Amino acid sequence: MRTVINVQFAVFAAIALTACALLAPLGRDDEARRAAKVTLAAYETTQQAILIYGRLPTCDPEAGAIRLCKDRAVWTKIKIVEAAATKAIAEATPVLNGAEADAGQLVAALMAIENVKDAVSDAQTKLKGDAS
Amino acid sequence: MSAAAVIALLGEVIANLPAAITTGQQVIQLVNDGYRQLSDAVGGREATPEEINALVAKIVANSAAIQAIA
Repeated sequence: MRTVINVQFAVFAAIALTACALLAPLGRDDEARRAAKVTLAAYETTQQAILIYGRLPTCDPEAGAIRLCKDRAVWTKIKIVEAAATKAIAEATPVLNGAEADAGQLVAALMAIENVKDAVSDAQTKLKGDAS
Repeated sequence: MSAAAVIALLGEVIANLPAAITTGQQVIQLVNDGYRQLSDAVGGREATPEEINALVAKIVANSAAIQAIA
């Protein structure tokens, strides 16, 4: 199971990186929306990985070894950056749909998604560390 | 790593999950949903504003589920 979660985190980080790069050339509206859809789908998939991680029991060194657990500090960080990213994405949606002019919402959303990616990477590192 | 390669790898992970792990039906469903979303997103179709809005709505719902976990 640890391997499965690690692989998931790795592929979700990779697709998120790819998707972020796709948003750079925002040419026509349809191109921008398609790139945005890939980015959002990647983020939505990352959320699935976060949900899986979040449903693991919390690590408790005093209670003894748990085969697979989530780090409390990492989980707290993930929740904070995830909430911020979802808020930023919601605020960027009218821009992506052409209903509002971009006043920095797209960059803010991408940066927020990047923060989630970093936090998920921390979780992955912890899982790997616990396994060794 | 290209999106197609990521999807192929993810598909392989899903296909090779040991039987003991698949008892977590909800977990598998979550992974399958993610796989379907990604496949759809890179499938080459144009994205409509309605699809973007639907995806954002799902992200907001997922976020609520994440925030609800202690």
